Amino acid sequence: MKLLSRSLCFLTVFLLLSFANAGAQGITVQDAWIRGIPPSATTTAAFMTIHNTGSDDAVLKSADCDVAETVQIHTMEQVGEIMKMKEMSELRIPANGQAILAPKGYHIMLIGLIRPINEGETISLSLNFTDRATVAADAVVKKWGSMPPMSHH
Amino acid sequence: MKRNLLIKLTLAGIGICLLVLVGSFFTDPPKMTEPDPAQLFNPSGNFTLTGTSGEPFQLQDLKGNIVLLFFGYTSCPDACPSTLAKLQRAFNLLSKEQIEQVRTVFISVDPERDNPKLLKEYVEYFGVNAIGLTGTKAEIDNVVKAYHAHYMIIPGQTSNWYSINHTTTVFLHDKQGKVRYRFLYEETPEQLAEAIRKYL
Repeated sequence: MKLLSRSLCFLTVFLLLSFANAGAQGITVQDAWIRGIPPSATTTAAFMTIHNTGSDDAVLKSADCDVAETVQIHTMEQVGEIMKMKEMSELRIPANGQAILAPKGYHIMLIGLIRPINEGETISLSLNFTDRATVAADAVVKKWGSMPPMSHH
Repeated sequence: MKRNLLIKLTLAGIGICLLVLVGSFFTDPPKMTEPDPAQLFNPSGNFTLTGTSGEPFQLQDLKGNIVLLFFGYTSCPDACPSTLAKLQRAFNLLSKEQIEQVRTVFISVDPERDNPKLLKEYVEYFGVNAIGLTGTKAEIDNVVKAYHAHYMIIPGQTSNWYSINHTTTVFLHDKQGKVRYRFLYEETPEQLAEAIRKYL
C-alpha cells in the first residue's frame, strides 16, 4: 500500500512536470549557432529559428547566457549603404509561426564574453518568454555560420 | 454626362497603371556599383593611418595590389563578419596567384575599443589577406569623409555597450589605388570575384 501511494505520488509529480514542460513545448529552437570570434574579442551574436506551435503568440523578453555579461535582443536594418542596429524590448513569435534570427536581421547579442569561445563548442542559452516557461537552446560556435566558405579550386 | 466622365476617368486611370506596369518590365533596376565619375572616392589616392603593430601605414604602400577597403569595428555582431565571410567566398573563387595580388583593408571606426592587438587578431582570424588600421578619431574621420562613408555611435539602452551604425560598402581599388567599384552589402561573392579579376 505504502509502495502504491509512493508510486502514485511519483506519477503525479512526473505528470505535473510533463505539463509544466508542455507550457514551453509549444516553443522549439532549431539550428542555433553563435558566430565564432577571435580569443580577444568579447562581443558576438547568436542566431536560430524559434518555432511556436502554440495557439498564442510567444513573446521573447530576454535571454541569458553563462559566458556573457550582457545579453540583448537586436535587429539590424540596412538603410542605403549603412547597417543600423537596434536593441529590441521584445521579439514576438506568432502563433503557429516562427521567428528567424539570422545574419542581416534579428539576433541575440552576447556582450562582454567572460572567456574565449571556441569553434565547435556548444554554448547554452536560456530564452525567457512572458507567460511561458524558459526554453533552453544549445548553440554551436561556428566561424562562418550557415554559409561555410567553398573549398579552393 | 457625369457618368460618362467617370467612365473616361476610370479608363484613363487603368491605362496609366498598365503603362507603368509594362514600362517597369523594360527598365532595369539602377546599377549602383560603378562609381559616378563626377563623385571621386578618396581623390588623393592616399591616406595615412596606423597599422596593428603601431607603424604608420599609407594606402600607397599597397600599390601594385588590388585593395578591398571597408569600415567596421571588431564588436560588430553581423555586418563586418558577414562582409569578411563574403570576401572569403570571393577569394575562394580566385586562384592562389590571383589571391596574392589582393589585400583587404579593414579600417576601425571604433578607436576607443579596438586596440591594435584586438584588431590584428580579428582580421587574421577571418583571413582574406587583411590589414587592420586604426588612428585617432580625427584621422579616421578624415578617411571616412574621403570615401563619402558614414558612421554613428549608438549608445545602449540597457547597458554601457554601444553599437555603431556604419557604411558597409567595400571599395575596390585598382593596382594604382583608384576606386573602381563600390560593392554594396547585398552583392554576391561571384560579383566581387568577377570585378577583382577584371582589375588584376
